[in-house]
Amino acid sequence: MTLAGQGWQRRTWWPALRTSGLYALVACLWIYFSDTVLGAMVHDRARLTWLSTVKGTLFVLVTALLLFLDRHAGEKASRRKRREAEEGEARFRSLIENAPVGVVVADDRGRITQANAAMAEVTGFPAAELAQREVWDLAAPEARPGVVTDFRRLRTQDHLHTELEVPHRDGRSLSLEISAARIGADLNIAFVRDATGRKAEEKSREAASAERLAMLEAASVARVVPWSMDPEGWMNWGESLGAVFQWPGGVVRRHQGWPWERIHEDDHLRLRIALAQADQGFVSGFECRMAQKGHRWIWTRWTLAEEGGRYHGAVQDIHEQHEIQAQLLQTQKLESMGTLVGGITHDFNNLLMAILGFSELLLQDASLTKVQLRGVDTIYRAANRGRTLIDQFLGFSRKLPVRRVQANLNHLLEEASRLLQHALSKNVDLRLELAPDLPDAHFDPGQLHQVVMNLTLNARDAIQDHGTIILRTGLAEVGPELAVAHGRPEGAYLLLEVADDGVGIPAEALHRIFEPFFTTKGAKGTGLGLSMVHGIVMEHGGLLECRSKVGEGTSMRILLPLMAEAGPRHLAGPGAIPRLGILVLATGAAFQERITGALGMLGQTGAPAASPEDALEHLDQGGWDLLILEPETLPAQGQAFRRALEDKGWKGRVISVGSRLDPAFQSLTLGHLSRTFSLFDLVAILDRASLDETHAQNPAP
Amino acid sequence: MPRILLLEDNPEASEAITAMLEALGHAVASAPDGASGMVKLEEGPFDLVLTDIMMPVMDGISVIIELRRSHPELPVLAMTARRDSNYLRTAELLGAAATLFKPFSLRELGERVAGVIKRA
Repeated sequence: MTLAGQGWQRRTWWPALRTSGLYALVACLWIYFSDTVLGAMVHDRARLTWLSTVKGTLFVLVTALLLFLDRHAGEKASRRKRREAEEGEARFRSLIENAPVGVVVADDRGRITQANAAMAEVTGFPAAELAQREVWDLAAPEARPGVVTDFRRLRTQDHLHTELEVPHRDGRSLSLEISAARIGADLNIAFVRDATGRKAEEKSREAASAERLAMLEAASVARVVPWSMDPEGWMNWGESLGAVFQWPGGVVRRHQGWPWERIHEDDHLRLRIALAQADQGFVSGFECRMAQKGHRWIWTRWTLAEEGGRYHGAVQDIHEQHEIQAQLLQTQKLESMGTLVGGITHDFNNLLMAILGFSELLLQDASLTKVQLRGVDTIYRAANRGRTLIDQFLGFSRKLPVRRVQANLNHLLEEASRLLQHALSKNVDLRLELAPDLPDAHFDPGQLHQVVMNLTLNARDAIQDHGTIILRTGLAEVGPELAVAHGRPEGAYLLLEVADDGVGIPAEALHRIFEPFFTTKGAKGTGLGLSMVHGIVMEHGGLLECRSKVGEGTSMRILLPLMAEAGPRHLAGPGAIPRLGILVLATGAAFQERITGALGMLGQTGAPAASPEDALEHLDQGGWDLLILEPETLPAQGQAFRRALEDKGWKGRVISVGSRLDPAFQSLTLGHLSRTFSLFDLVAILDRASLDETHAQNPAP
Repeated sequence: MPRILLLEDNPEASEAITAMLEALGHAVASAPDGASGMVKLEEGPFDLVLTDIMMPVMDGISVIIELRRSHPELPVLAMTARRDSNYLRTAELLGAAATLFKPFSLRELGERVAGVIKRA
């Protein structure tokens, strides 16, 4: 800085020095030469003196003229310069004043000398007020030391760029972008831009991007793909397309025209109808099958709207939902069928009683003619077939009581295969693949025998008397998907499989095979076989799966619960309910009496408890296997009561009265009893309890 | 000749069962419901009551309960056309000596009745 200062000073005095030097030189030369010339030419002394005076006067005049001209030009130049400087200063000030960004000018001590209107606007403080402050006063107190440091750095750095949080006059925080420079001695300037909006925008852009990701994630989870189609027929799919449909060969999110080739042929008409409807408004809930990776058809639900030649909407994968609904519908169908059948069979059996009873009596009547006898015999046989038919009805509607015993599936299959060998043609290769050491299970051997026979004879029809049928047992795991679809608990199950390498079942028939009266065998089939199988497997708390491929074969897989998981069922034989101690904690003395009375009639020991405390006292005495409990007797103290039971080490089970279940007792609850229960209901639930007892005493291996 | 009281609300079935019991050599009195059956009981003595479960006015379950109380020595044979129920199991637990699903054959009926009367 000192060097620069010296240079500036030299440049200032050098032209003056040069001019005065030149003047001195020219003046000296003029005096010397003019005196020499005068001395050589003029010898008269008086004339010489006069001429010298004239020469001197002339010199003075010329010099004075030159001095005048120089001073005049100098004055003009300096005046112009001053004016220019003034104009420059004004321009500078006006430039600063009108700058579209905030500008602050400060001296080297940090005092603000000027702040423009934009700056006033940014900070909310009037420019005049700003001009009395120091630059760091603008920053929030905690940021001031930083600003002081930055300002000092300007001296060595000449220029810096920074961002600063500054409070607005109204208190909100501003985010300022500052470019500062030292542009002269005691002259520092800073350009200030309000980046609050941009910052917020950046933040919102970040948030928007996060939102987009979240939406994509949600779309993938909900398995929804938004789409649109522009008037030129270009279809654009949402980003979740890949996650939902896994279309092969990279996902084409933009393509020409409707994806007909990816929609099941049978559903094309539906899409056409939906498109036609969309022209008149919004179409929601139109369902069709679409191709997923691996040539799998999945059910999808479309929403569709048309607006000025532009279609838009979304496609949702509802396959799982669809499957569960189909399963549910199937169950409901079979259940309502069961109720109907139950009522009808009662009347039919009474009619058959009359027909069979009298025809049997008539058959023993010796006075009947041969023709009469044949007629009666036909009536008798027809009525007997009617009885078998009714049993079949009851079978598929799961109404026949199951008589379960502890038995082994391997033994069952060995026995069945011996019988089947005779029934099957020599060209059928019947193989047994039995898992060694298969644990026992609780099942009705007669009914499962029927199941095996039925499935094997179906397999025989499928292989058309030429091929292989495999009867297989083993253990299988039921995963969450299957468990949900069938409403069964997850875990290990016993597997009983009947597999063939026959013609297979076409996909469209596959979901109907368990429906009553559905048959692929034409007039030969009744359509009751598989629905009966289904009913029996359901009654055993099992699952039934059919895997089939046309031309490759079919595998029917029955999954039965292991013994410990077996649902409680009737035990065979009279008096199977052991004498149980049953404590009754319910509202209303009359109701309690009704239960204990009914229990007594059924040979059980029932006692009422007046209150939860009374119940706990009873339990202290021991001998109670069951607690019939109405949740209303334990308002808001279910948990406490449950803990008290646990503390006592009580190992019994609970029968809940009413449909409301206290969550505290969920794991202990064996079943529900309505307040308007019948003796039949009570017997059913006691049967469960006694089976549970049997299980507890003989836990499964 | 053993006397049997038959309680059956279905008239055709009642006629058929009466005929079958008579063919088996029993004397039969019948009533269409439990309540009139209890009145008919006064015309006794009977060796056996054969009762349906689902009947109007007074059902078979109530009949069994009432007979266990009033005539503990009189055996009851319960029958039903509802194979899809636990009616007979309940009847057994309440003290019915034996049970039958309708329709039944002459042989089945004969065996049950003979078994029950013999035990009694």
